[in-house]
Amino acid sequence: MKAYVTGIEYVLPERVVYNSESRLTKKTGIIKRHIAAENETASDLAYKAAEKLLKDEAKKQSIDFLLFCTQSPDHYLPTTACILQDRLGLPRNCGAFDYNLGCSGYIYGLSIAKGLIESGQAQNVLLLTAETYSKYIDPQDHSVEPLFGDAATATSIAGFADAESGLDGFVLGTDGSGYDKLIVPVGGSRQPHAVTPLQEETDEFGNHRTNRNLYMNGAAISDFALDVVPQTVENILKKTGSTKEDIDYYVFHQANKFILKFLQMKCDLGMYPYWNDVKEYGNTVSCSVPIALADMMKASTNIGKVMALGFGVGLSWGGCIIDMKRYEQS
Amino acid sequence: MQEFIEKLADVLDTEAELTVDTALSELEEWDSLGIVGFVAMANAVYGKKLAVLKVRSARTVADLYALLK
Repeated sequence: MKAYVTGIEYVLPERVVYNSESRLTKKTGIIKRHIAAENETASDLAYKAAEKLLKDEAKKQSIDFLLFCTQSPDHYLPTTACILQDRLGLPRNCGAFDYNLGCSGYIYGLSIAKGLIESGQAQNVLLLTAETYSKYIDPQDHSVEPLFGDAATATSIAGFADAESGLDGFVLGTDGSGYDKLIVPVGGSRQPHAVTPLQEETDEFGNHRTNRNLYMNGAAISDFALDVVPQTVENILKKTGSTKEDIDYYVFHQANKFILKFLQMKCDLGMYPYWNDVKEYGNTVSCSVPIALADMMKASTNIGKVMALGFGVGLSWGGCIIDMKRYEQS
Repeated sequence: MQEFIEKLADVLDTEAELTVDTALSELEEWDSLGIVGFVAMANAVYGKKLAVLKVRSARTVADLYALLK
C-alpha cells in the first residue's frame, strides 16, 4: 500500500482580532488573526476540523489511526488524541497518540502516516493539528502577539495499491541547541508552575512578558529558517531525483510575508509557484502548511506534486513532496 | 553603498532620508521588527549571518554596512 493525502479541512476560531494597519502589517502581511475563546481548547478546534472532514459515518468508521499534533494539550495526561477518539466516535480499534511539535509538525505527521500505511499497520490515518498559542502570549508582547493565530486542521491519508507513493522525499532535521529561541519556559517539569517564581520583563522595545509566556527571538528564528530551508529544498529534490520544474507548487510554513519572501529569494524560487498568504490567519504554527495546502488546492487546477516544508520551534524542520492526485475537494 | 542604503530603506520601510551617518536611534523603524528584517536581509541578500547582539550595538547606517563586510 502507498500513502496519499485524500483531503484537508480546517477551522478557525470565531473570534477575530485585527492588527492595526501599520508598517508591521505591511511587512508581515498579517491583517487579522483568529483567537480561541477563553474556554475553547486546541482539541475543541481539532474536533470541529475532523467533523468537517469526516462528514459521513462510514468515513469515521474507516479511520484506524489518529495522530494529533499540538503544543496545547487538554491535560498533561491522558493523551488528548484518546479524548478525541471518543469524542469523534472513532472505532475502538483505532491507534491514537499526540506528538508535540510546532511549525514542522505537519510534515512529521505525514511522515508517520506514510510509515504506518506503507508498513501495513494502518489503512486510513486521520492527522489532526491544532494550536492555541494565543493562550501563552502576553498581549503586551508585540514581538509575538500580532504574528500568531489559532487554528485546527484535519487531513485524511489513505493507502492505495499504487506503485508510487503519494508522500515521498522526506527530509527531517533537528537542532535542539536552539531550544530556548522559541519557548514557554514555565509549566513543565523543568520549571514547574507551582514552585517557579513569576519573573516579569520588559525588553528595550517595550515588549512585556513573564516566564509563563511565549518568548521568541525573532531574528534567531528567521536566521535559522534562512539557513535550513534552502538546504532542505535541495536535499528533497536530490532525494527524489526531481528538478525545481517538476514541482507544481512550493508550500512552506506560513510564518509571515517578509520572511517567506526572503526564503523564496534564498531558495531561488522567484520563478516558481510559491504560496505566501498569511493575511487572514497569521502564523498558525502546525496548522499553517495544511491551511495553505487547502487554500492552494482551491485556488489552483491541475496540481500534481507539491513541496511542503515546515520549520520552527525545537528547533525542528522537515519537508517532503506530496502527490495531490488523489486529493478530493470538499 | 548607495545600493545598500536603498535596500535598508526598503527592508525597514522607512521614508526617512538615510545617509551613512544616520543614527539608528533616530529611526522609528529601527525596532525589533526592523532588526529582524535587517538580519534576514543580511542572510538572504548578502549571505552573511549576523549575531543579533552585534546588530543591536550598531549606531549608524555605516556601522550596519560594515557588518556586511
